[in-house]
Amino acid sequence: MEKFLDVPVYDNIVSGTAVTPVGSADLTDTGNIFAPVVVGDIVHAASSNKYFLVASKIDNNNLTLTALDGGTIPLTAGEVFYIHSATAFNKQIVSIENVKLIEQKSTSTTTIIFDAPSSVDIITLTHLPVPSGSEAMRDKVQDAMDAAYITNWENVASEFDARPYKVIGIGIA
Amino acid sequence: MTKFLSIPVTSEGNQLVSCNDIKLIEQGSQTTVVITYGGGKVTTITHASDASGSEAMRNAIQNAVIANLQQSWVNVSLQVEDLPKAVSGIAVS
Repeated sequence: MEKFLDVPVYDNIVSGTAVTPVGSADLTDTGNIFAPVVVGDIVHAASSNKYFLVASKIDNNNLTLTALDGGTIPLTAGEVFYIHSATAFNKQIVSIENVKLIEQKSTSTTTIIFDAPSSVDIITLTHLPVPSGSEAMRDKVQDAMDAAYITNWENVASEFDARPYKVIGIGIA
Repeated sequence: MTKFLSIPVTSEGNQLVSCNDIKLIEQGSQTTVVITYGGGKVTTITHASDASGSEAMRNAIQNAVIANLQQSWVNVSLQVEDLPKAVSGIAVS
């Protein structure tokens, strides 16, 4: 009986490198790069590994942000960032077969470790941060796995609602 | 229950790809979908180039895997039709 979680992964819509912030902006770049961005979208500052939401769009080169996990604003020049839609996503299925352990690896990553001889059998969900010390996302994955296994065998992929900890990436290594 | 996708490959007829013990399916690039199995085996499906950022082929393969696993055990393989891009090769490593 093969079982999966069907996980919404919010689309990466913009990526770039911050330049020196202009005026009241918390994130500045050039070339009208923020044209597709709207209020509420998710900003992952990769260099500092901090998360923000778009609070307002001053124009297509300047945003103001709200920090989700204590990140410093404005973002300094050179910070690599990725912006994900708050609403648009694709769904990716993640195996819950032969799971040995699910861990809250960091505030913004949850790992699913499988029983296999290979070291590549660790799936990492990258998501909006849980509070420091919380294992809320781990609990959500565990609960979803439990629920999936008590459904009929024909329910191969069970919907997984991670909100408010929206998933922005899934990898296996 | 052993299950396969039967995927049409240009000039090669149909090739079977296992649906068992899949851990993750990823859009590896604009021209590849990567299926990773338990134990680390990887099947790479190479296809005609898709738009940057598109995950249409991954989604199509995922949907086919789910549909196949929902079938009765006597339906071992599922003929995959209407893939958004033509498949030119399948390899395992």
